[in-house]
Amino acid sequence: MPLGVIQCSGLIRMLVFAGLVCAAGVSAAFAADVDDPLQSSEDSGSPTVEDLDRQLEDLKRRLDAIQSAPGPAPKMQSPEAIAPPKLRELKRRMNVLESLALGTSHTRGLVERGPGWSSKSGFFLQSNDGNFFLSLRGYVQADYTAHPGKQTGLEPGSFPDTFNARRMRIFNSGRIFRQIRFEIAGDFAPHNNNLYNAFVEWDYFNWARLRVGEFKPGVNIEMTQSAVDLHFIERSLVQNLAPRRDYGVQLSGRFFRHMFRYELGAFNGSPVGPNNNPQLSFSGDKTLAARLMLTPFATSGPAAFRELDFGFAFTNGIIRNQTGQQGMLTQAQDRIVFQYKANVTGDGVQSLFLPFMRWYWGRFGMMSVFARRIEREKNLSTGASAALHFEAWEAQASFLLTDDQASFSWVDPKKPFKFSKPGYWGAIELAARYSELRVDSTAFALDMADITNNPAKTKALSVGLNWYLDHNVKMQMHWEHNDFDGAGPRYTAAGTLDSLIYRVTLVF
Amino acid sequence: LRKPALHTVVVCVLFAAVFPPFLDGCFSATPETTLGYRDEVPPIDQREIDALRKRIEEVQKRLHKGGESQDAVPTPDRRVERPGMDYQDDVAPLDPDELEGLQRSVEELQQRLTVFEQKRKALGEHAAPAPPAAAPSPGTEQHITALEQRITELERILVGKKDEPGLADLIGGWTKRNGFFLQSAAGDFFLRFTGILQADFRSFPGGQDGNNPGIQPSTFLLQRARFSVHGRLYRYFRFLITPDLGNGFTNSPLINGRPQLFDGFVEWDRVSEAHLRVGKFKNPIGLEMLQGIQNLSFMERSLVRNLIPNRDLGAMLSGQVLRGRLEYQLGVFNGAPSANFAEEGKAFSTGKSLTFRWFSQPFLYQGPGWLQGFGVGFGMSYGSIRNFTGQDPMQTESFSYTFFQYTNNVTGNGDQLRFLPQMYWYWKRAGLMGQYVRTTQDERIINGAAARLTHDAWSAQASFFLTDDTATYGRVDPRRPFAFSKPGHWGAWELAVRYAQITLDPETFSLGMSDAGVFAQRAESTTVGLNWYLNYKVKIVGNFVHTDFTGATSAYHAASKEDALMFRVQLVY
Repeated sequence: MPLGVIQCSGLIRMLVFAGLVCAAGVSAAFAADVDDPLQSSEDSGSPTVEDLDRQLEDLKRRLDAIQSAPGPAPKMQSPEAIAPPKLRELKRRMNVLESLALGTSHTRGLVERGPGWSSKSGFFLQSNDGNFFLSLRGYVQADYTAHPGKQTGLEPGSFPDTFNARRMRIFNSGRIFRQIRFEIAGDFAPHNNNLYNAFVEWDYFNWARLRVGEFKPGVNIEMTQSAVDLHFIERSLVQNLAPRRDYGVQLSGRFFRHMFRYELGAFNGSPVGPNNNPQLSFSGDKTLAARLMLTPFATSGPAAFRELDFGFAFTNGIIRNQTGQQGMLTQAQDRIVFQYKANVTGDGVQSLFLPFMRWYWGRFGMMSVFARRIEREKNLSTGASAALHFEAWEAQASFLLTDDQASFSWVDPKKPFKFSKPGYWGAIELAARYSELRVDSTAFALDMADITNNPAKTKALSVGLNWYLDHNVKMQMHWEHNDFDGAGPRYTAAGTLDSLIYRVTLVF
Repeated sequence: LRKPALHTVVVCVLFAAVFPPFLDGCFSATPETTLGYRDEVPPIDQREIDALRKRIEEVQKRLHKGGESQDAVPTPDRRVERPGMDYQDDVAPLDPDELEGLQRSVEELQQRLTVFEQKRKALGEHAAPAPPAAAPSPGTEQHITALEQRITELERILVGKKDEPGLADLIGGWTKRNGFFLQSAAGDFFLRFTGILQADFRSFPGGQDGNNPGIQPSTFLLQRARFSVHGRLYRYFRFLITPDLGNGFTNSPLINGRPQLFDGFVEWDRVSEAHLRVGKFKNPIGLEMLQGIQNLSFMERSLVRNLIPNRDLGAMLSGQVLRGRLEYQLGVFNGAPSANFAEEGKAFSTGKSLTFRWFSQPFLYQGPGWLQGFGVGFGMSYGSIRNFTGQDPMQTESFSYTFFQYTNNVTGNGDQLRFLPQMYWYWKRAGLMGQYVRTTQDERIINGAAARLTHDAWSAQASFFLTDDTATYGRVDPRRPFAFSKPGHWGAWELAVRYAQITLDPETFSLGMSDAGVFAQRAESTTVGLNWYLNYKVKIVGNFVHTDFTGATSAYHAASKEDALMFRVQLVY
């Protein structure tokens, strides 16, 4: 039995589940003194306890001064004759009011404590002490897809040009009691799953956060990138092999600031694929997912490599009574490139190995992911069972034409677009990506998939232009070219597919 | 009506007669009570709104006191610098204890300031021999001007101007009772953002047992994930909108994958004795069904829920009289099928369903203290169901096994009558709840036999706090919320036990309205639960449910028992 597989036996399953929970608790207890969570708040810009303390001390001193001062001045006849002690008192009261309303350099005033908007959190509401925080966010992606080159090959298809609402999401996320994070995200786009993320996370220690619910397992780096932050219209072909969202529990954390990051989780093991929804388990087996990520120069070393990360992810689980894959799609999600027949189900161990790297420096950014997936599938009609090997990889690069900083997340333009200001054009970025997906030809040999329609190899090239108008609006124009190769002479489907996609993204 | 039904009516009436509400203090001010009727989201607390309003007014008063001559000086163009306070994922959490300490210090300081101000005022009024005034220095006037400017600026920010509302005009934030909110200055317009999230792990250690047992894999799942918007307009118009995001009840064959609305209603609540509500909301018949799902002592409701409707479309008049000792609901609904699920509930026939519920807490203000948390009442509904099956599949508590279902060709054929006596009793750490339901319904096989079927179900539950906390029908508020750094602050721990039973009319099987070979005639379940309330908003629950099934005939070959072990992390905000 391969390492990491959680076997069906009830006792072991319970132990592993309990172990995950205990591990978090025990390790948390040990580190209470070692890692003071208050220390790392320096980089956040929010006031620290020390600051608050200093401010209070200041207030105390001033009060003491007032109390030890002599009594008030008698009432004056005219405002011009106000005596300095009276003036001092007015000033003191003024200071108190002002610090309450506006805050000081150390503390937040009422102005900052109320509801409002910030670029990071969008619209938010919070309690006076900031321990309860709710961020109301959402985004819309409106697409237009055209197929100027159509589809060529023996069996050319015709794809109609169409408008589409790709994603329409509303998020409620925040914290309660400061250390408990939550998120509930719904998608109201016509073709999507309604519930996206919904999780609770105990976030007290940076090095051990415990999360339960529905969320993205920490596996595919490209998947962890938010759909609005992608430098392309959609994710690469690699997402056909990596898990998307799942029900489960996950422990994550980081050490030495950002240098080491890890994720370790247990999940139902929903079928992978670009369009899947999390599902209830079809068998008692669960899937383990782990990822290790290294940022060697996060704090020291050459500045050019500050944002260079690499790492690998690994999943292992058993899938039975259900197909391990949903239909695999092209990058533009307009054509199915591989689909198991209905009589094929998972029949044992499924594992995924996924090394990756990313690097952002100045105007330049790049990312590369490789995925190798092995899954045992069974054809229920013939009884044939085989471990199938799938492989995919992608390499992408982006370059900003304007003087902006490349980023894994949304590029925040230095000069946000403004009609009235000359030179304020937002940020403009060029991006290119190459991606490949190889399917095990045994799948065709054992009649698990239709050889005439499913290519054995898909190659995709994407070239695009991204225009970040400001922090909230992005416009994209991308061209996707796909080449399909069949597994044998019986392959009759298309040879190429071209798509031209326009997208407007609005985030609030 | 058959004799048993009449019998039930008599019992209910007697029940009501034994506990007559005391008649003094009738129709007085809205009381502060633990009501039997709860929405998933408790109503917006008008008192808290008023308190907030007072706070604002106080600030305004103090401001006006400080700056009387604001017109003379133009507003200085001072920009309010907002320190970086973005909500960042990576912000390390502060220790709540230290913050509490700080807050205490601030309050202490404010008190001292107030005392000092009063002392000073008193001194000035009594014309105490004051020291001779110092000669005004040449800079005094500039100082005054500067002060005036600052006062004006503060007023601009807090009080606002004509076209520029100040902080006091629209406030938002978080309070314990209301959660996250936005409101107008007077509190007449109020908006709350709430949500509930239940992340579960469900397993079946004993599996299912019987001649033809099913296989139940263990699984992670999200039982409920909803966010709602709840508000008030013009003070007395309350509304609640809760969309379902599709994954709520993944097990429902009927609503799976279809977005729908859980709650959506408008209510006029000017008078506490008569609230008027229209839209989609819970049919107010069952005590357990009316308890918010987040407030249950168990993970899910008992088997009794299989015989009563969940949510329905309709109109309702409800209220409380005798300062909350008596509450009632009277509603007319489409007549949604008795169900595990919240259905859209579009009527299939013109016949509507009438629901009445009465609940009394006779010792709320008088009588022995240990009876204060005692409440008793009954609900009943009468309606006409045709052209539609009156029941959805009945499922076990874990929602994982369907133990009863009518065959496809069975439809409602007329009258449907439900009686539901109910009681609870909460005293200190202990809580008891019990309910019984009897449903009588005309059913018919299309082109076949017709019959009047009577099903009944009951449940009894007891809960006990291991920690020193108070049991309640509403949300448990731990005396010592969980805090890592505070010894002894472990939240609240509660043990709970429940027994529930449902018995279906044997005629259902003998007339072939359901498959006697597959579906059980009786299900009995015992639930043992441990609740860990970390604080007012978060709880972790473990439940073990054992269900026994009995068939109607010897032909029954399906499961004879089911053992489910379930865990849940629940967050409400």
